[in-house]
Amino acid sequence: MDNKLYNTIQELERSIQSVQEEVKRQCTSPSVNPINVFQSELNYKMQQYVYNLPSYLNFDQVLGFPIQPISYSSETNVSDRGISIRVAIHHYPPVKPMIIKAPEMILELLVMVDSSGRMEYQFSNYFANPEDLNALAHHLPEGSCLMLQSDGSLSIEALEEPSMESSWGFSAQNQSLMGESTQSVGDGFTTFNEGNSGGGLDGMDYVNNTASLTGTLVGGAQFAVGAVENQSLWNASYKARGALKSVGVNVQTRAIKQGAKGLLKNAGRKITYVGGVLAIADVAIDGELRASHLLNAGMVGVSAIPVVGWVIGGTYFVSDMITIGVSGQSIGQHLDDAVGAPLVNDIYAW
Amino acid sequence: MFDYIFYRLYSFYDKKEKGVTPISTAAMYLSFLQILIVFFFYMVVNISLNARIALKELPVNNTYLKIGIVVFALLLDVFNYVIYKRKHKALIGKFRNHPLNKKFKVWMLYIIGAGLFLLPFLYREVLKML
Repeated sequence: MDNKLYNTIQELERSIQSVQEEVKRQCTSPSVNPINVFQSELNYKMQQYVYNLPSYLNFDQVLGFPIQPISYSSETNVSDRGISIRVAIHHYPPVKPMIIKAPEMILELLVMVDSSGRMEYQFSNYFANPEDLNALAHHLPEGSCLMLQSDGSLSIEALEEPSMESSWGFSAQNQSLMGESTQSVGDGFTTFNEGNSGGGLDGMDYVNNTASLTGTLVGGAQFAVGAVENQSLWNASYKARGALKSVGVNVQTRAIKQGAKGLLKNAGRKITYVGGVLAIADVAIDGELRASHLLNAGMVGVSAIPVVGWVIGGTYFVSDMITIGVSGQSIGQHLDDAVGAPLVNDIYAW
Repeated sequence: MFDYIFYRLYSFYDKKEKGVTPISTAAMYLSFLQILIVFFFYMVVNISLNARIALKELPVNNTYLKIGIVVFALLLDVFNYVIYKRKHKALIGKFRNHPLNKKFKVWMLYIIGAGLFLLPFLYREVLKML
């Protein structure tokens, strides 16, 4: 087992031990039900644990996108037979899955601790990078081997596959790493889906991600249009006049400025136009109306207003860029996330 | 109808932009309005027919379809620009004293645009209630 997974399991054991200690501390009176106390303490600890899980496994983003607080989930179940825990990190792709085949679940860890204290665990959907695989290859369990699957993924095949899915009470996955607590001899099998690790948005994905693209196009265009009002355009035109004069072409600064202004304004407006058309195409094709569509359509409308529209559009563009830089998502995407489901899910279904 | 809309947009941007690119800007917003009109009719018909003519059912990748629509929109813009560059002076003479000039304001075009975008959704809600 590689160090990161080992540490992750160690942390889990520590968390469970601290829950046990807390229960012992609290259950001094016979009127207190230890199972209830254990359940609530375990819930609390597992919420903390899943939140720290990416740091134990040393990853903070997937497919170039940061993991959001809503991505974490944990479930616990305490009974006389023992405890079962399921912690998971989900990924909500900001683009349509048809473009990026992003998994919805990044990682799932199922844990069973029986009444005798024996722990079994199962990792599912753990997307490792090639370095992880190399590290793992040096720690292959006795009697197992690294195998290349027909789909290009690698798996560690054990001679005997343990059959413990039936006892989990949660749905089990094929891509998994199973094992027992570190005190026991590890056994199990692993499959890593290498194809899904890393990578970002390519051009086509960005075209499809209209929430981001339209906002950037519209805001950026207005920023450019606003910029042409700036004094620097006059200075640039003055310099251009000097350069042209030195090669024998005598053109007035005013004429150069007027031409450049027209060109920039035209370009800016065309980009706004493209952004607006893209928002319309998105709604018409997908049949969904999201909050970002309204925002971007509104920005196209605002951009039609001279001067004030350029200021608002420019401010929007700068804010959008800052938002993307800080959080990795555009204002439109944040708005969609905040609103949740599309405003109109499928317009054609009524 | 489009000639008159172009004339109103042209005279608005000619005043506001101090004659820099009024034909191009007016032609562009006219194209946008035309696309919104097409969008409106497509959505209304498609909603009425329960998505029988849905674009996403076409055997084309949706991303390419979106790019295709953008290219079509740009060609429409160029077409409008060429047409109206040729006849904008004639339109000024024709519509200068048009009786609608006092009643119809340019801001109404924004309302019409927003309406064309949002009315299909209202239409769908009405159908749902029936």
